[in-house]
Amino acid sequence: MAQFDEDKITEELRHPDTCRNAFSEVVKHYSRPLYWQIRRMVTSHDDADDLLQNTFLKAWDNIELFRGEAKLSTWLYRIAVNESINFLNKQRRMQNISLDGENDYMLTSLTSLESDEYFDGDEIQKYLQEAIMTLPEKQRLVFNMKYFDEMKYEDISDILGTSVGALKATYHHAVKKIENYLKTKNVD
Amino acid sequence: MKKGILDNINRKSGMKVPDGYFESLHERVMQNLPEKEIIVERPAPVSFWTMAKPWVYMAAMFAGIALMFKVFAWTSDDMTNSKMEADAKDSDTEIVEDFIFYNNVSDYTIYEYFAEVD
Repeated sequence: MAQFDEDKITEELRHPDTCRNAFSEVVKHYSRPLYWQIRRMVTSHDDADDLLQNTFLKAWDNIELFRGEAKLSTWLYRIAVNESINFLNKQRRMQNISLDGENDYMLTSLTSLESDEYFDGDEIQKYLQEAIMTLPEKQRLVFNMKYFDEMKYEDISDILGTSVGALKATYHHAVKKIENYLKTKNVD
Repeated sequence: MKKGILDNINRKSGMKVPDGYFESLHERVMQNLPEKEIIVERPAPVSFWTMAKPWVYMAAMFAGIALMFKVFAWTSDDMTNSKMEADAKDSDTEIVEDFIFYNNVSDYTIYEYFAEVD
């Protein structure tokens, strides 16, 4: 598989004649990390699939606005995160759940996760997902990026526009909450 | 450093995707992308006025300068003529007076001269 050269791809994205081929490489390279980022936020595979396609479509529509000032991955992650958050807000509005009742909605999603044919986790993974669902949106985003994707705080900071210090504190709180939840389930 | 519960469990979410999902995803995404309208930037047509404008401005500038010189020259000519006429009048009187003085012209001769002129 050819090496993904971000500088070269960024340059090719600026030229109309090479733009489409370069974007094809972008889709190949970023499909998996973006999919998992979205999937862990919305839990359902079908929703994640729709949102991922929307993410790429939005990126394509606005490719002229990408000037290479931020990293391509940062730009794509930002779009994916916005798409996920907008989707969750829309779902909450449709179900008349206030922001305070955010966790109730996510726990409802988790019930559907159990019946989701694309979830085959063991009991501990199910408890972990339950614990993650109890977190507020921002903590969930930070926890997913740090714990599952093992992203650097600096990169998360670029994507979410939050200081590294605040991210460390957010992650610390998230970990504490999850561990407390897991303890109630006798996981240690 | 004390290890937490999260360090002891594997970092897998338990979520999976349909078989061949990522392989077909690329094709589906690329098929759904609309064609980009390629905007070829053509140079804007240059009108005659655009080309002639600097020359017209330059000509107008020279015409203005020439006009200014003309006005100044006319004004100074006018002033010079007036001065010369005044000087000429003064010098005529002086010549006549000098002539009368140095040639001992009598009053009768002068009267006689004016009588002939009339």
